Amino acid sequence: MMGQVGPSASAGQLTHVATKTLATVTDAAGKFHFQVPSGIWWLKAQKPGFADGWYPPKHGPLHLAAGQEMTHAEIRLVPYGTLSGHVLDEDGDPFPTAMVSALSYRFIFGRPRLMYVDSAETNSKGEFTLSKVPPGHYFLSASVMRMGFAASIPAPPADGAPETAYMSTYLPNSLDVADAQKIDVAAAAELSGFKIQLRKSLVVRLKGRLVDANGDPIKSGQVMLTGGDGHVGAMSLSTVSDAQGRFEIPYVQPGAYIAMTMHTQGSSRKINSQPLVVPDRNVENLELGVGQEATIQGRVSVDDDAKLLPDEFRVRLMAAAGGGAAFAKADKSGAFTLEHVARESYDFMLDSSEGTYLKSVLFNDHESLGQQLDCSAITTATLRIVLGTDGGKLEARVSRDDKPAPDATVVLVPSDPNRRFPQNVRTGWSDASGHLTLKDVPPGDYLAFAWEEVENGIWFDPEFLKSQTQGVRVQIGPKATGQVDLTLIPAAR
Amino acid sequence: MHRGTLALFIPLAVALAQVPTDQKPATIEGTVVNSVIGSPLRKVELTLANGQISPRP
Repeated sequence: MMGQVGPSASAGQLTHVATKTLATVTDAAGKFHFQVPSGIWWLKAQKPGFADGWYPPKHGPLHLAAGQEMTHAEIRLVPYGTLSGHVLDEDGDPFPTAMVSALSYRFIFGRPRLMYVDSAETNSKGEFTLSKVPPGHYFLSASVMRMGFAASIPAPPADGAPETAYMSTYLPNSLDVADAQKIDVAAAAELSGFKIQLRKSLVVRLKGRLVDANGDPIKSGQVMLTGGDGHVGAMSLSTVSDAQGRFEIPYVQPGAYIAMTMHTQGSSRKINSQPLVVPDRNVENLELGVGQEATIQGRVSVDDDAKLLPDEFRVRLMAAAGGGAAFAKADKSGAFTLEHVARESYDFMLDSSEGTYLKSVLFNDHESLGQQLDCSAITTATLRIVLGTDGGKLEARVSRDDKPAPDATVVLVPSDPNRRFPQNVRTGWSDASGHLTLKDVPPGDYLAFAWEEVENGIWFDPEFLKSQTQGVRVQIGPKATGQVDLTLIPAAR
Repeated sequence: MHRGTLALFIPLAVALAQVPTDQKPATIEGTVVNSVIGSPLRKVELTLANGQISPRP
C-alpha cells in the first residue's frame, strides 16, 4: 500500500534538526514562561509518570511572530496507566525473567500492525508491573527471553523426539493474538491481577550458513527471524562467528517469518531480508545472506504540467514486514532507479508535491495504486507513477452546540471501501474558528468526519468506520471545491 | 560631517531602524496540568525547539 508524504502522513518520523533549543521547568503552580525570537517552534512537556505532552496539543508547530504574546497556553499531561500481574508456567508455578509486553494495534500505511508499547521483566516471584501504558486498547503477552549465542544453545533430545518450548503467550493463555483478551486502559488506571499462563508449542531448529552473493561464507554477522503469521512476540537471533558462517536458531515455531541478516562489509553495514517459511521439522543447510535483488526502473510524470515536479523528487519503498527499504531520487525528467531491492513486498512512499495527488502507480504495467508492490519474484521491474493535477478542495466548518469547534481532527475518507488507502485519505485540524481546508483531494465521493479525539489511522479499520454514523457525504469534483458543515463527534468519556 | 563618514552612517542607521521589529522577542506562557484531575503539575520539563520538521511522534 502506498502513502504520500504530506499533511496526512507521519512526517513526524523524520529527524528533527533543531537550530535552537530552550528549556525550563514549571513552578509550584505549574506555570512556565519563554521569551523567544520569532519563528517556528515546537513545545514539548515531559514528566515521569505521564505521556509526553505538546502545545498545541494535536498538531503543531507554533508560529510565533516578533513581539507576539501568547498567554494562557495549557498543556494537559495524560497520566500513564499501570498493569500488573503474574506469569505462570504450565504447572501454575511463578515464572521469573519472562518479558511481559503491552501491545497495541497501530495503523501503518493504512494497515493495523501490533506494536510494543511497554515491557517489563518478571521478578523472582513471576510478578510484573507495566507502568508506562498510555490510555488505549491493549493485549498482554509474555515471552521467554532467549538470545541464541552459540554456546547457550541446548543439545537436541538424544532420542530425536520433537521439541517443545515455552512460546510468546497472550493473556490469558493463547498463542494467537486473535484469541487474546483485550484490555481497555484509561488514563491513570491501575489494573492488577492479570495472570498469563505460558504455553508450550512444537519448535524446530534452523541450521545453516550465512553467505555472500558468491556463496562464500560470511564469518561474522547476525541472523534474526521476526514477525510472520502474527507472531509478534516471536523474535529469534543467532550470532555467526565461525569460518564457515554457520548459525543455529533453536526454538522456532513453524510458520512464516522474515529472515534478516546483518554483517559488516568494509566500512558499511549490510542488511538483507527475505521471507522464510519454517516447516514443522528441523531445517539443515539453510543458506541466508545476500539473496537475489531486483532493480526497478521508474518514472514520475505529472498530468498536464511537468513543471510541478520538484527538483529532487524522492521515491521510497519500505518493506511491508519491516526492516528493508530502498530509496531513489528522480532526475529532472522524472526518471529514477531503485537498486538492490530485496525480494519482498513493499509499501510505497512519495514526496508530496503541492498541487498534485497520486493518481496512478503502474508496477510492471499493472495498476497498483493502494496495493503493496510484490517484489518477491522479480529481478527487474518498471514503475510508472502519475501525479494528477485536477484535485479538488474541501472547505469544512466544524461546530459543537452551534459554536465553532477548534482542534477537531477532520478526516476525508472515500465512500468506496476499495479506495480507502492512505493516498486517497486527507486529514487536518480545524482552526480557532472551526474552519479547515483540505487540498489536492483526488476527485470522487467521500465521507467527512470531525472527531474530538480519535486514534491516528483507525479510520482505515472497516469495523470502526461502520460504527461511525455521523459521517457526512460530500462529492469532490475535478478542480472543484466541496463545502461541508460537520458536527463534532465528541470523545468517549 | 565628512561625506565618506555619512555614506557609512546612513546604511547603518537604516539597518538599526529595522532591528526592533525583527528582534522583539515573542512570549509564550501557560500552565501544565494533570489531564485527569486538572491540578497544576510542578517540575515539568519543557523544551522549546525551533525548526521546520516535526519532532512529534
